Amino acid sequence: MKKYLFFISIFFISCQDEITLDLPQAENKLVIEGAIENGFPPYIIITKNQGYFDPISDNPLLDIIVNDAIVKVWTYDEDGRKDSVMLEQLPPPLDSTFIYTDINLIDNSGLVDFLGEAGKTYYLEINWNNQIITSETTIPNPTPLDCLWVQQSETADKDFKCDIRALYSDPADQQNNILIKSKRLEHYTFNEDSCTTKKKEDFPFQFVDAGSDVLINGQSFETYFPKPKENGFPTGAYNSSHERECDDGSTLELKEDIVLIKFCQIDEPSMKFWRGLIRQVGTNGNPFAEPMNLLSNINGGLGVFTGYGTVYYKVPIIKGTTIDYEYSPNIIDIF
Amino acid sequence: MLKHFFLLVIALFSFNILAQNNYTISGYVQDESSGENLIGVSVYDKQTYKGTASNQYGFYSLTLPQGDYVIKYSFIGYKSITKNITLDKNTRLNVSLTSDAIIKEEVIVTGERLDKNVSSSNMSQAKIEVNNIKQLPVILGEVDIMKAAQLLPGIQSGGEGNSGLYVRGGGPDQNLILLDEAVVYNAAHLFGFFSVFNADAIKDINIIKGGMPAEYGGRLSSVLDISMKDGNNKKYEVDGGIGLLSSRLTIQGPVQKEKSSFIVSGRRTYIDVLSKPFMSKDSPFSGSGYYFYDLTTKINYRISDKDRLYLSGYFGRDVFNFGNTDNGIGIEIPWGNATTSLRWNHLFNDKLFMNTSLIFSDYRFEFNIAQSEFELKIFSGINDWNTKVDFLYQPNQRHTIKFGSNYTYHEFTPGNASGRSGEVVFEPDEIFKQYSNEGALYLSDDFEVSEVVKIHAGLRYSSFQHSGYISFRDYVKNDFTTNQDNYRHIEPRLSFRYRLNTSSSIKGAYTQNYQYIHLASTSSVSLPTDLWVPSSAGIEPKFADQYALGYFKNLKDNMYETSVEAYYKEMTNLLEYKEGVLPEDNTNSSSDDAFAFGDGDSYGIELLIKKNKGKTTGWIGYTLSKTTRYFNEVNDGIAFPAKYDRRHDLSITATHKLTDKWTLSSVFVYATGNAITLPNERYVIGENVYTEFTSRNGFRMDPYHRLDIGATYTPKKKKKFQSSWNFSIYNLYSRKNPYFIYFALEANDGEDGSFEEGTVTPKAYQVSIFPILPSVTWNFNF
Repeated sequence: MKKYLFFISIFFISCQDEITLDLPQAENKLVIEGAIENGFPPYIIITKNQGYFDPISDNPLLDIIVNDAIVKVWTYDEDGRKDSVMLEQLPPPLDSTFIYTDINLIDNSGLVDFLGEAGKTYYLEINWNNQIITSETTIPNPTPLDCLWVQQSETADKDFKCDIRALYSDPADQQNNILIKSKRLEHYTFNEDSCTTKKKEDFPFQFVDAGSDVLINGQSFETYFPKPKENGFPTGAYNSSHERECDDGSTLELKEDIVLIKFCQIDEPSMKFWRGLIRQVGTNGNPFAEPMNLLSNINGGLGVFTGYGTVYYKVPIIKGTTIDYEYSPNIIDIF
Repeated sequence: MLKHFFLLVIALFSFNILAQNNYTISGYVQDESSGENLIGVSVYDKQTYKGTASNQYGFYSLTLPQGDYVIKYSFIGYKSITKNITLDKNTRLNVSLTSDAIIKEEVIVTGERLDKNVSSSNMSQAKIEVNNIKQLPVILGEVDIMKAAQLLPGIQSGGEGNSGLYVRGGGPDQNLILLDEAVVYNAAHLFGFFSVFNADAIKDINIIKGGMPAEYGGRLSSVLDISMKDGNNKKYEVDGGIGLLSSRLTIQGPVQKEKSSFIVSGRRTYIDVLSKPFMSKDSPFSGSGYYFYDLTTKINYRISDKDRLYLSGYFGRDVFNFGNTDNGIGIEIPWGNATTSLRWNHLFNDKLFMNTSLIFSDYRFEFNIAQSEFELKIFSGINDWNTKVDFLYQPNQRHTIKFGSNYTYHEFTPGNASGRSGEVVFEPDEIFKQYSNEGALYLSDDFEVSEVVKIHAGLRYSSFQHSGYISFRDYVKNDFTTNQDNYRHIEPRLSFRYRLNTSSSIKGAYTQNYQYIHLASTSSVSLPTDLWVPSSAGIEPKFADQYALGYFKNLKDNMYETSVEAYYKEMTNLLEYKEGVLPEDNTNSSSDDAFAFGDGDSYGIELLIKKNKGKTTGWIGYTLSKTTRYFNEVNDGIAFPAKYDRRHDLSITATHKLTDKWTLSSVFVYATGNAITLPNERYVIGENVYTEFTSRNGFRMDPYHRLDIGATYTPKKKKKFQSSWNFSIYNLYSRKNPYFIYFALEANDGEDGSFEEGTVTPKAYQVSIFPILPSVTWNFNF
């Protein structure tokens, strides 16, 4: 929002007042954040929508979480035989993630037989309170990056800030859609008062960008993966190891960030949804833009069911590090 | 079709043969002091009131039976003159009128024939006098003809400060905006806040919102026909003004006295220059700025009494720069129009006038963004090559016949992108373009059937040929065999006047219009990012038919003009982006499948009371209307109000000449609030909250109203130097008119908050942009 106010205030004296609006009652809809990727079972979070001005309680997630739906995912093999799986909420202590998945993962020590495969189409059906909503998605073939490396950020003001850069060769023979997510597996914060550091981990994956290859089709080029910023244009940089000074003059070393990059190929309906996320943040409060709904691929609900053709890279933020091999994540890593 | 067309031409010409012993008086009417051609001057016989009006080039032709006449020439703002004429042969008579301002008469000389409001067969038309609107209070001292037009009934603004025109329920792309006959595709500077026309270079504006005559076409809703000044052909003259936002300078004068003259007029804003010292070099936005400029030039040459040449040009650019040193992002957005018109007026004889034009028009938009070694450039545009021939034939005083042809070659660049990452350049193999041919033939007759009945009947035959990606050159190369999408239509235009008595009449009009090019817009106002796209196999032309009926009455010897008009307009094949489609989906390709098509209708009543004479002049305009859209693929197929649907729209303007030195003016407007789309649901994806709207344009903002006052002080002329001060106060009572509304999840403790932790509250804010704004402009002339 602020950028538009800035823009307008260049020219004009503007003022704003809080107003109360009488909006029509919101329809009750389910919101799906569902995924299936190559080599992993499907995983889904289900929430409810709310009226825009509904009050926000002290624990808002509990107000919207739906953990008692019947969730089914199926696909067809080459011979047209149906292969399906029922998804259930993860048991404690993982229940706070509210993820529906194949709980054989836990019960059967990780051995599951319904795993995503590139090239296949997957169907989703959710039944909750007599509401039935459906969706489908296809997992495209993953395309690996040529390599990634870490170098000092050109735009950041501190020496230890680094960017993850990559070389990517887009396959010329297919029209594809790319989605990038990332999360810091390790990140250290500094507390000046107590002169201590604290390790943190991002959860879940943060969305970086999505789009089609219309402009880059068949090209080989250098790009970079900025650190996602909450609700905005992802432009941040990562931390390499550095020292901070405490009040007593002693110094403390903060270790480097360790970043997991999820580089995916997705189908077009999914791409249109994900790309809309950035767009909607951009249009909220833009006086010139029409408000835009996210383009859901869920029939009868909101949100998205995405098939990801993924490759993962684990990148320690150490200047000069080059990575040209994929990382094999475990099931918890992929959320 | 063609055969019938020419038969009609021949039939109309035959009137000439029937008329016996008639002679024609014809010539040009011009301004005494500057030699400018005057448009719309009434020329009539004082005894019988038979008459005509000068055309766009100041030419008139009046055919009367042999005899003695007292011919009167009258024009608002000028002293009327009469000429005694014995008409026993065809007579050429060029006339000069003296401006009322120069002769310092307080009351404009009564021109008995100033009853055009009642007597003409035109309805739903208005003329704006540039000199009159210069007296009105204006925002930040910028005189704006588009904003003056919005004060007329039936014409609405897009919102606070917006210079776009919304005529009788039609969108901004449905207006044919002509500057010396060249189409201007984007008439807005500064994202719509100001129009691209510099009032100093404009002579005359004619607005047609209904009953469109057959010589105009290609748009559904209106014509804004703007004529540039020709340039003083008697003496050199310099006009200028210094305002808060911009400065203007106009130089005009004879190249060869009475034969050839020129005018050059320029304007530039200086917010960028003025704000620089105030913006700290360390500010993250230190590279940001905005300016616009425009340049208008015209030169004309009178080859002989029968031939005149005009060459006019317009060039304007807006440039917006945004730099943020925090993240190294730099954005530059330049856009603008350029037009050139070369016109040749030729008089075949006293009754037949011809104008031939060659016109080039170009609009382009660019968006450049760069961050370290990444660059992205998005560009789009349209350019036209246009040639037209127009004939005006006035065989006798009862017929005014117009016919002609118009051909345009359109070149569309609907949306191309190129980029660079380090050394690697991303470029489409070739720039994606589309080409179309648009043509029209027309014929119309303004026919005075009797004292009581006057009919204006016209036919326009229009055709559009979309050749897709095949340019004309390739088309010729391919032996004219390329597949093309063709549309051909006949557009009837009919209006009548039925005179009830000398001071009142009833008029009606029915018109059909086709529009072959479309503006695809993702925003709620007309923005430079909007794309022009041609009709094609997948996009049918827009169509509208419009019915209008009105009662016209003049009071107190034409001191007051009043009218009530009712209209009903139906539109089909209107176009919008499908929900969720972004313009970049069609980067480097055709956008045909990005659109949803639908219909619209609009109906309303317009009331106008206008006072033309006396110390106090001005008008009251009121419109009551309703505009609806019907799209299967938008809003779940449910009818929704158009963005510019406005139940009530009231404008009152008044100008009062207090003394020789002081003129006061004021404007009051009231309008129903804009229909807007607001999200009414929220939901969570990942950690972020997103919104969903369920009803298109389902919410109304608060009504818009505002009072402006102004005063013009004109001290006595010193030698040749004349100056004036224009003081304006915009929004006198500082009404907080809604400009837009936005939603935000605001942190409860004023700092960081998050939805997950329940430390935010949903809030709605209304932003108003123009509180009370005084301004002063100094104008000079020597």
